[in-house]
Amino acid sequence: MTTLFLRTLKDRWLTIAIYSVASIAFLWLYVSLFPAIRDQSAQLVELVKAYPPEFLKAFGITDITQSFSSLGNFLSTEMYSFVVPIMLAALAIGFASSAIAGEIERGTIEFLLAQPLSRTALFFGKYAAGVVAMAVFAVASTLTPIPLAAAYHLSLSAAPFVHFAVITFLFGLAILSLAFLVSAIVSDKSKVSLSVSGIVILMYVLNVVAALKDSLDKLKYVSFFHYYSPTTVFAPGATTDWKAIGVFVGVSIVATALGAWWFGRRDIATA
Amino acid sequence: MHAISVDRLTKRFGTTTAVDNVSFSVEQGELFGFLGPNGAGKTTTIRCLLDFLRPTDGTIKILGLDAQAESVAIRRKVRYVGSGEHLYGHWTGWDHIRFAESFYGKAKNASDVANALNFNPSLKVRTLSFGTKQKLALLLALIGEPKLLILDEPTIGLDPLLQHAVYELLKARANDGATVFFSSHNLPEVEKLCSRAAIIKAGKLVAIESIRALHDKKLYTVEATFRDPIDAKKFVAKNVTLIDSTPHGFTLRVQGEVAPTLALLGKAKLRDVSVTHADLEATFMDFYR
Repeated sequence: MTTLFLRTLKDRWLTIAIYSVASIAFLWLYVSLFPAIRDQSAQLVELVKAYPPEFLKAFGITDITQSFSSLGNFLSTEMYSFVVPIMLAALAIGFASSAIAGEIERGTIEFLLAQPLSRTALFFGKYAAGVVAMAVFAVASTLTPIPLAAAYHLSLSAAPFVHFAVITFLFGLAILSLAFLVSAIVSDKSKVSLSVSGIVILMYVLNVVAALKDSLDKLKYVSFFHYYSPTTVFAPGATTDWKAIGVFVGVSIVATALGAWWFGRRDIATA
Repeated sequence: MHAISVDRLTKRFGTTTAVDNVSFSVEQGELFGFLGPNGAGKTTTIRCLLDFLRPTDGTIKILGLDAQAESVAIRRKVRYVGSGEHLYGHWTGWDHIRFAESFYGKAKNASDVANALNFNPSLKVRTLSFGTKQKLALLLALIGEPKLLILDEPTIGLDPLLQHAVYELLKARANDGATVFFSSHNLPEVEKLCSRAAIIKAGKLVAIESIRALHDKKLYTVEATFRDPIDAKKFVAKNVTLIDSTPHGFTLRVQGEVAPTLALLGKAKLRDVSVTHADLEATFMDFYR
């Protein structure tokens, strides 16, 4: 299993590096712009206040004045609410779809299955590499502002960033686990990408709809985006979000266990 | 203990029965052919042997171990050759060898086998031709000291010289005590290599024959033209059927020994003659209806 884990990481390191470097580049841009934007925050707040309240609510912006009060709040509005989850979901889905269904589609799974390696070890060897990918991207996209802020002489509290790194990692882990479950069931990489992307988009839409209409408020509980809430994490006085951690860990355990079980019992026939 | 023991193996995909109640056994050290036309169920059977597919019914024992419950232990002793197209394009040959070695231990003969196959393992797989990829698939099965080799049409894409080299390598392995299970749709190939063969058609095992018995079932098509008009009926015998005729020629189908027919043709004023093996499909149509 260790061999497969290391080989999978070796095969995918470039993808992981590209995603991580891209997120660092975005962060660098935002951190470097932050002092100038903070200085003009009064005009920006006036501008944003002109938007319909429903629009701001849909994007989780409850208090626009807070958005420019600190680097954490600024990044949570500009970067963590949209760019990071999109990149993280794309990385997780791409990784998982290639890991099992992609191997079956290309026929390379035959080479792996011919080795003295149990299907459980094969599944978890690949999955463990995916977990590392999520961790690397989560660290790169959430903890990089700490040294960047120091470089730009900006004051910053590290605690919310560490808290958010955990939430981001677990959010990615939950999507990765769902994608591994689908990847273990089907034999077509594109089916994994389309179905899991569809689920993630649907969750996003449900969260927006729940924010807009009070009668549909409960829909938010089935959306990962309700639990992945950067504005909550970076809000003043925020405490550890155990509910979010519990949901993401729970979904990950259930989806991974189901995926490993299904992969262990299914027929594997390559073209 | 048999190297392979298959008992009433059935594999269905939905309403399609790919393998239907197949039973056979292979002795240790035997070179065993598994013959059948395309789509007969050879690959499905092999995938069940290797636990890629789970049988709908029946049991499989490999080297005395249960093919499903003890599949990891089995694969420590068994090597499989499938299609060379199912290898990693961005890996080199050495990457594949090292990966396999991480499970089986260092293969001392890797370079020797690579030389015998005239294969350079330093190149990335995606740069290789179809036949060269197949060489790598064979190389991966032949390194180390497996007790059983399961080969699914392993010589596809190889030139005749290389096919011969592969037969010699497999015979050497069998001499060293390894068992070779060799699937093919090519009867002459199985004849050259194996001592016995199982014949599968439309998912059912139709015969398990010695190679001698298979030889007697071989079909030839003989086409001959002559300088003078000829009476084709003179060439018809117990094992020779007239398929077509013209005043100056004919087409015969010969079952088994073709030499007497050729001797007879040599006595006439031949203009041209061709002898071709009928393909396995035709052989099956004739013998295993």
